[in-house]
Amino acid sequence: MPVYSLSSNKKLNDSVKLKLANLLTDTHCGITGAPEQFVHVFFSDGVPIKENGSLYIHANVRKGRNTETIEKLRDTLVSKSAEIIGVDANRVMINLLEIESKWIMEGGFVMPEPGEEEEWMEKVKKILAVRDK
Amino acid sequence: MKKMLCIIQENMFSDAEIKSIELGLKQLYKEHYNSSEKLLALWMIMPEGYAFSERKKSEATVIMIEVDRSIDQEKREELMGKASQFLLNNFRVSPLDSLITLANSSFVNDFFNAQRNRIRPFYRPYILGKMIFKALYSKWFNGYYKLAVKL
Repeated sequence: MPVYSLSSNKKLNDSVKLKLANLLTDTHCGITGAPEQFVHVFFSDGVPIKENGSLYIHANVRKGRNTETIEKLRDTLVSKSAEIIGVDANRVMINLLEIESKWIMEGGFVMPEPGEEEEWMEKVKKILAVRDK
Repeated sequence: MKKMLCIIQENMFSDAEIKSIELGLKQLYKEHYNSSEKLLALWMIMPEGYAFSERKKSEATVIMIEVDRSIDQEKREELMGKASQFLLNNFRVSPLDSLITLANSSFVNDFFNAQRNRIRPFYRPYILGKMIFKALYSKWFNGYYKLAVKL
């Protein structure tokens, strides 16, 4: 978590998709402080987006962040995604759907509340260390 | 009827394995959640280049299962843990690559509504009809409902 699902009306080339995946990872982690190991970005294309949009970003994100953080995340993702795909910002739509952390298990452990990742990350790091040996 | 959405990567599992995962998760749901309610499993199989985790090609298995709001946290965690173990023990999916969510119906409905509402209203019946046709086609030929990624 987070899980970002991006729908575009046209097929995006591989380089654009990678740029968007990096943008979402950098922005999400930069603004929220979440660890980047678990940022997932999925694409689908050929979707006629509402309001003549070019890109629709849907994200399932953990609940518990303040409005300012959510707004900053939303605004940054819209403006920078628009730059990457070369359209006006009003053709990029975003929907952030907040979900309770305790409903999610990732890395083998129930996700912590936003801002309380340290202990959870320590446990996950032990598994990561074994995998990356 | 409750829903279960499974997002996996292309070539990660065979059709037979997908059906086994579906069956296993449905059994866990029934046994541990003690529910007689049916679970509709929908699969999204991400083609190469369409999924990234930690900036790299994704190997993630993302499962979202709908539950009633009455489920207590202990039961929720138990079922998430069992699902994670089931994927590890039977299909070698590391917990690092699995994301299991047991979400209340309200969240799952909001999620599916958002998926529908992203589509321009004029095209909605056509796109939804196409998705349903493809899912039924997949059920008939592959044995599971697959949602299209490229529409």
